[in-house]
Amino acid sequence: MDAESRRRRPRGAGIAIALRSLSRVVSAMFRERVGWLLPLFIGLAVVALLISIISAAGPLAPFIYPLL
Amino acid sequence: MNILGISADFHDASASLVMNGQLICSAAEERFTRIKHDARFPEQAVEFCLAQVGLNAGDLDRIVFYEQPWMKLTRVLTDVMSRFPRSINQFGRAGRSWLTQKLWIHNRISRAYDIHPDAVRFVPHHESHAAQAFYPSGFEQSAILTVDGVGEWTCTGIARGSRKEGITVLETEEYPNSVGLAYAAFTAFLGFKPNDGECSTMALAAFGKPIYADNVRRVLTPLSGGRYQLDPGFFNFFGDADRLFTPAFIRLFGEPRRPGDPLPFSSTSAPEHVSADQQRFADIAASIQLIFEEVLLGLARRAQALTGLDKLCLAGGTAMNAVAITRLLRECPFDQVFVPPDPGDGGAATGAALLACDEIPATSPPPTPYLGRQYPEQSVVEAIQTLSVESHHRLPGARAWSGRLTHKEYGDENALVEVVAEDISRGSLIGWVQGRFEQGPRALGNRSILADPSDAVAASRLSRAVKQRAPFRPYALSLAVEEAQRLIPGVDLREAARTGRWMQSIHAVNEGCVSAVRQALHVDLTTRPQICSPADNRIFHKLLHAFGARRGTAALLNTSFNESGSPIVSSPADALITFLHTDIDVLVLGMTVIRKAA
Amino acid sequence: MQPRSLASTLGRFSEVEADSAWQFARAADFLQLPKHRAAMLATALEETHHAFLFRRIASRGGARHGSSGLARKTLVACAADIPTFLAYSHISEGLVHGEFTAIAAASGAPEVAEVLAEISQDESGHEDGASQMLHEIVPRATLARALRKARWRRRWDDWMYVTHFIGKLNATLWLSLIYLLLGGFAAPLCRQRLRRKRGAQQPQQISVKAGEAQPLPYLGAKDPTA
Repeated sequence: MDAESRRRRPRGAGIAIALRSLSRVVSAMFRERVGWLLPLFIGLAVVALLISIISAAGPLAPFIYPLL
Repeated sequence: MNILGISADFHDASASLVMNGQLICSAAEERFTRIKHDARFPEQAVEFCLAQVGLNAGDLDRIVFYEQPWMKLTRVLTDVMSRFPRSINQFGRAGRSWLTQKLWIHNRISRAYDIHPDAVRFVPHHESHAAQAFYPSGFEQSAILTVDGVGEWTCTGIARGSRKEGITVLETEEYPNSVGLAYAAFTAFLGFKPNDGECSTMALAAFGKPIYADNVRRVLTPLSGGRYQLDPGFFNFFGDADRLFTPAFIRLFGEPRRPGDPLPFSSTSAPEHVSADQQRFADIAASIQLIFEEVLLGLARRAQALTGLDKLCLAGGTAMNAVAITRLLRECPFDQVFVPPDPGDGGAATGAALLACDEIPATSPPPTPYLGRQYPEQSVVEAIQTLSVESHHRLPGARAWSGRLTHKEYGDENALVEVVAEDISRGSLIGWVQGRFEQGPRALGNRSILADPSDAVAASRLSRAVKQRAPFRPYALSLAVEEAQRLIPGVDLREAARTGRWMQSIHAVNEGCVSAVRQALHVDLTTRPQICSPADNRIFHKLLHAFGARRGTAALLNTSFNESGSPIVSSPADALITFLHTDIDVLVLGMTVIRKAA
Repeated sequence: MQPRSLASTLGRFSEVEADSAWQFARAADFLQLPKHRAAMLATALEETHHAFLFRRIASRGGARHGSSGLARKTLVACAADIPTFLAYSHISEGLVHGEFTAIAAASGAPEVAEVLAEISQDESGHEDGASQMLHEIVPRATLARALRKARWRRRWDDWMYVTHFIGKLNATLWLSLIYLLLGGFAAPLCRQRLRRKRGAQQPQQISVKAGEAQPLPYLGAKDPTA
């Protein structure tokens, strides 16, 4: 792989980056000694997942909300 | 090595490009989108940075974000949840914004520019500020003081900067112990918009006496050794913009001022009648300004004690407080003080990019504020021949004219400045657009509105029918460097003394010269000057002298080229629309002069 | 109409008009004929003035500028976007006339009604202007398609606006649930955390020496750019 390709974003990197962002938040919580926010943050992560599922549905989103 | 710095998502999104350790260009997104303090991802600013040097996104080695969002989220959640159950609305708003956008900035950047995620870096907010102040200063070593609202958790930072060893953070103060947020809360209390109207608080302070200083010390206490303590019981930093303070604050200072309520003060004349409440607001402004200066002075002395160095670099939004900077220059033991042209978050993209460099050159060219985009004016100039403007599409108070325009292009700078100087000396208001626009909120002769600083009629028209500006806010003065000692005796003219060159400090004007520049002075006969040399801005320096040849003083009233509520103009089209909408008489785009036909 | 609600609506109108001004000014750069550029700039000026008028009334009612959060989305990125842009403007300006008339009637404020009436008249002129330029620039064969595309685009935008609004409501519901279920437990700990003072710190070097190529620490795999 040349330098140019190594510099580019790998395919399917989105989920890995998202997980990395979430793990950074968790590390930061323990570093800043606010680890008790973890349950709240897990709840937020679930909401984020729901929002992203629905956003992916685009114009069909309002029809998906009742299912959730 | 090509490094792009980005700031976004909170306020003043911007982009800066550094190539091989040298800052090449920088721009705030608001200049392109025309949304003041636009915080959204700076797509257009990035596009400009790449186009400026002919790069593609694939040519970037690194992209650096100016803070660490995951750290910031811990602080946001801690703060919001600490106010349970009253903060349910804030939790909803913050939750939506973080979960849909802010938390995923890494992915957004990587995807937008097709760059490997490991080439996207994040640096702490205050460290971006430290780098934005130190590296462009040209100092070999200096103390660095960063004071703003809040980054991730840090509100204040003291560091040591060295060309050889880099930047070392020595001490920080954490949220909620924030001077910047306290000042913003007082700004909101006085009826101005926080993170925007702090300059109004600073201007209003000149009309009051600090009789509430003890009350302010109750909420923001300077401590010995240069530290300070904020009492969070008086503040609600997560509240809406107009409720950054609690009922306890109101009990201490009285009812807040409603936005838009009149203030009778004027920078150029004595008020006819001032009510008790109006005076109270001025006195409160004076009081917070005094205590803020005390705190900043204490921090600067502490920085000096910790580092033992004789130079200071200052950044963070509070570094725009020119009155406080002036006091720092006067009373602190530092030989030189450097404040970057945009010390706030808009300039933090620059710091982020510099911080990510593997190597900063030992020597760099002198810092310049002219880092934005330069536009060709031709498309607008061709269009104005057929342009016709309806009379009712102008600002109230703008003078009637035929609705048509004339234009003339000059081949020679000297001829151009003579014509423009003549217009100014006859009372015209000039919209002046040259070269690359400035970084930061100050117009330094490339995107300016200019007027005769002795002409009260012109200044009044400028306030009423162009800037819609409150009369208590003074205008600034641009003067040729050759006039500086005469107009402002004792001013520091050393090359490295930038505060006087970039409207960052306040100076008293020589009594004998007051009448020549009265409209650009505050009520206490001080001004916030731009001191311009040929090396700083050649054509603007020529214009100053051309005007000086006519009126005896090479100095002009200089205010930013924008209407109230809008960012400073960027393109010729922006300038033309502002020119047509307001009472500006003449528009100068490069070498072309456009006039409103009678 | 409640004064705050009216102020908020007028504030949003101000931002929409400002956005429109921005789009027209930008589009002017991509037109060939000076007279077309002039027409675009004149429209941009009028929209700027409308934004000013709305902002003035809205701020009297207490609305803060920029509070509706309208983002810039470039409609004209190149010359090929001009026909769609003109068609979209032609259709949108017509629709906005109806909205303004309804607000004027509901406002109960004569000053607001007067301003809206003046602006409606201008918008009607913009609708005609966009149509005229469209006929001059776009070949007849593609004109109908451009208009059709613009109509569907407008319907899509309106539906996505509804979608986002519903999404916002739902997200708020879920977030409020989490807040109420878990907030009580976290609150006292958070208050305690904010009261805690940070202890004395060790100096922390945050950047490399000049001349030594040491990358900053970061999470993730080996630096592919090394």
